[in-house]
Amino acid sequence: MDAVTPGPAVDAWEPTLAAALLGADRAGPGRVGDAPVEIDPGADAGGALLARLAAHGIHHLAGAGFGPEALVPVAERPPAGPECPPAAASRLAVLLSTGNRERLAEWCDLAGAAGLRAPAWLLPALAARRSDLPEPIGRVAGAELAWLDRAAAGGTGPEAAAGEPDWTDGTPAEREAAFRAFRARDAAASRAALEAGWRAEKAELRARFVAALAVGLSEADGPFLEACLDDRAVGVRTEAQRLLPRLTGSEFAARMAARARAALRIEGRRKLFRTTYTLVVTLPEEDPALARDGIAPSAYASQGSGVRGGLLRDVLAAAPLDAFAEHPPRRWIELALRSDWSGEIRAGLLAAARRAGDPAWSEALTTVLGEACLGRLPGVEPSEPLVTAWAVAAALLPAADWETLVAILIRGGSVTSVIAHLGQAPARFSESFTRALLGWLAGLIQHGAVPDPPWKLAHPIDSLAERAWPSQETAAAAGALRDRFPQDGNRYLASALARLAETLDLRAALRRDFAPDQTASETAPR
Amino acid sequence: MTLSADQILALAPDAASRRAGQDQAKPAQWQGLGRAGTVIWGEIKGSAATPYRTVADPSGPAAKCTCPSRKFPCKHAIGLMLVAAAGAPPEAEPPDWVAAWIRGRESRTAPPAKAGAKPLDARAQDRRRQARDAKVAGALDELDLWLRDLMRRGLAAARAEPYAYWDGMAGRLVDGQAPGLARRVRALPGLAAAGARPGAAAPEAALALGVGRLALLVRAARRLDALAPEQAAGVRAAIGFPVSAEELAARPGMSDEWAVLAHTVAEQDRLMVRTVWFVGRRTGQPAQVIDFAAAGATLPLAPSPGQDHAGSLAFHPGDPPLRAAFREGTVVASAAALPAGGTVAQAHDTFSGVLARAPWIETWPVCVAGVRLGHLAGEVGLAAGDATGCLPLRADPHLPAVLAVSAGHPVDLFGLYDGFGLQVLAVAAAGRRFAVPAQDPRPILLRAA
Repeated sequence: MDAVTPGPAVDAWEPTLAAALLGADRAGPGRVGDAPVEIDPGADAGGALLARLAAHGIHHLAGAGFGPEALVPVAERPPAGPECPPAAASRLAVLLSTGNRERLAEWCDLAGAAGLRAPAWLLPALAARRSDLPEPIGRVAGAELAWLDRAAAGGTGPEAAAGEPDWTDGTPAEREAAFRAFRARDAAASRAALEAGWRAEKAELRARFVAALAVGLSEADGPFLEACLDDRAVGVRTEAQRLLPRLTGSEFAARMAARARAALRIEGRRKLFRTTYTLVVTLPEEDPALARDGIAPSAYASQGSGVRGGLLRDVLAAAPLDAFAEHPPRRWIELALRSDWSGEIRAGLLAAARRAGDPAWSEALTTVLGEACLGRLPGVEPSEPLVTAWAVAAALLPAADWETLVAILIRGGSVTSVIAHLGQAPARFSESFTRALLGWLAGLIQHGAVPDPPWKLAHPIDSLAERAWPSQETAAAAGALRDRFPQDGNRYLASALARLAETLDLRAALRRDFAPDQTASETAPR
Repeated sequence: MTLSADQILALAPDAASRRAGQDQAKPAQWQGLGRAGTVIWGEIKGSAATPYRTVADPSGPAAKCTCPSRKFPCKHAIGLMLVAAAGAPPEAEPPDWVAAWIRGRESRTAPPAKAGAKPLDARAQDRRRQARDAKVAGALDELDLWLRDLMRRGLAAARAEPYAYWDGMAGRLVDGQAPGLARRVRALPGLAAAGARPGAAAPEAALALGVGRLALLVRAARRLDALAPEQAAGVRAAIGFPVSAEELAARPGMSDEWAVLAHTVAEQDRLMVRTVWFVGRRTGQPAQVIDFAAAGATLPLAPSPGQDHAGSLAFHPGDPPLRAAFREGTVVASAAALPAGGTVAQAHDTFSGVLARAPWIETWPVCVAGVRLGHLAGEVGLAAGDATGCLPLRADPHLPAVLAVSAGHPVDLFGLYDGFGLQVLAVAAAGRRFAVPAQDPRPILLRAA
């Protein structure tokens, strides 16, 4: 057996394998010249083939291998930035294994802000989450993941966007993405290109492209969107109706302003030295022209005047705020709250103010609704919907103003209003406000002043976990809150407080991981 | 040394324990946390009336908990280690139950006192040995006949046979007290049915090579007298003769800094088989320590990748030696470098050399240093190569992570080579070492050092 010369033996593997597959009965006796592998002379045909298979198999294995020229190495990855510190890498590994979406996004935001990259050994695990969090993951690992995709595909994958992608070709999703990019580059040219090929597009794609005009929307898009209102496809009409209220100079806005003025009118009557104002409400009628602009009765509205009340709300919501320019916002709102249609007008004006982002109207709405809720507005009874509307209006204020307002309410001890406002809170709280809020919670729990039913407080506590200022101190304060909560207290509240403390702890720890002074003597190997 | 959070999570026996362990990793849930050296302990309220007492030593690693869970380490032990990794508990005097555990560990690691030497009935032992030898010889004859018959009919025809065809032969080998051969026969239908994948033999070639190895083993087993003692012991081990504790205790220990490179876990005959792969830093000698656990039972904790076993291993008889058992030593923090890396050509030579001494081995651990990852021209799978040649890499869910760690630069690889492809188990790149996790199918690596 050891007498086999390497060359022929390697060559003999394939024919031997073929013979073994066929079987000795059919393949016949072995090749002449295989004598050296006759390890068992005198064996039957099966035994002889077995011996040949064993010997040639081993020689084949021992001689297997490729020369250096067979390898096409992957391209080196260009360095994209410094890698995150080891503690943060460990944290990311744990976050990826728990699937905590919010904290994963927060990790990416923190790393992105610090200009650090995700560790290479977690890249494939991050790639698995790319569809869930495309933007944050792209920021900390985008270039690396693109390289990895190309490298794993053997360098045959598409090169990173050599030119701009062609929006006229591809799957609907690709075309929409390409069109959005085109639109972001050159709003006017993209609209002109869309108009040119408009008739050839399918209804579904036309609707997607119209929706994409939201990128870089300007008054110049008005005529095209106006034309879309007469499109055959309902999807296109809906998208145009959704975008047009944002263009205050369009024909659509002029029509809506006229309708709003016809619906709401303030009449002033001069008596001696002062003028008294009354609001005259004329409910709009159902109308094909109104339906063309996207205002049609809701299927759920109660019949009769409920339908027309709904139309009034929708007309106000779609109207530009300068339709009400003859009188100050405050007067409109006060009169509206006293009118028979206060709910509809309030909702319509709130929607219009939110869309326009008008600070004067936001402030007037907040102030007047606040006064009404506190019973300081004669003729208006405070009610729960009114408090909710107040919270919605206050959420239109800048975050700092909102915090000031709620801090005043906290000092005033108005628990229900604070809870209502917390339901509409901005995405992030400042450090001082977080401290004030935690102090308020501690006071409520300590004095047994928890509102009834207590689980109403659980939702604000849960939302606080995401929004609070994530410092070591606030985490400690939340931990103290949880520890001081009575054992026999409401279990919803107890678990909400435990979640709050845990989340704040984790968020504070995330920041510690990225802290520049990586002393962290506990976690370092001893 | 302590373990990082991701290394602790890798100790968990399954994904459910990983998740549950993280739920226990909240300091607020623990009472009486304390630490003495590397040993940590605490009490946690579970579903029982009294809190569970958990004690762990991440540097061992070792753990003990009073909870009734059959998982090991249980979620409480994992949680406790995670808590300690996030912030070390205060140094304290161990309570009685912790001190008892520490004493128990010390007495276990100390060499066992010589039990009163039982008078051996040498004649009865001889009789038993002869009976077993005769049984095995019978099984070998039967296997030889079966293999010849297989070859006459052809492997293509055999691929169509039902599993019972292979399992019946394996069963007769088990009856013939040749479990090693039985395992190889039972693996044949799996080889034949596997789909082609990069870095592995084509199914028919894998089947043919498996049959060839069996034939060589049968042939070697019949000529045991003509073989050198170590080689004969290797053949006996491959057939399935056990190595007695006395025999192993009599073997010389081989002392070195044994770097733990990776763990692998496989299921074999309804047993969980966990292999810890070592390479000696001074000698470059590879070693495997194998532990078995029946279904539902737990595997003992073993040093994690990234910990070195500074001490000696006792090798089972065999040529070339590979399987070993712990002798004595301590666990120390490991260096990042992969020990004893050679070129691709050296890896090929090592493998050929091993084949020349034990042609029935299926895979052999090799280290290659300074290889670049890439693709074989015109093929899908990955490969690694240097100026002396290249090795295809066995397709595996963890390969993308290996590629990501390499960043296109030269890396050191440790893995099992079977003549067709390298199954990567560990990678060292840019001053850091990673292991392929044994029980985690997600495409991540375990940071070792």
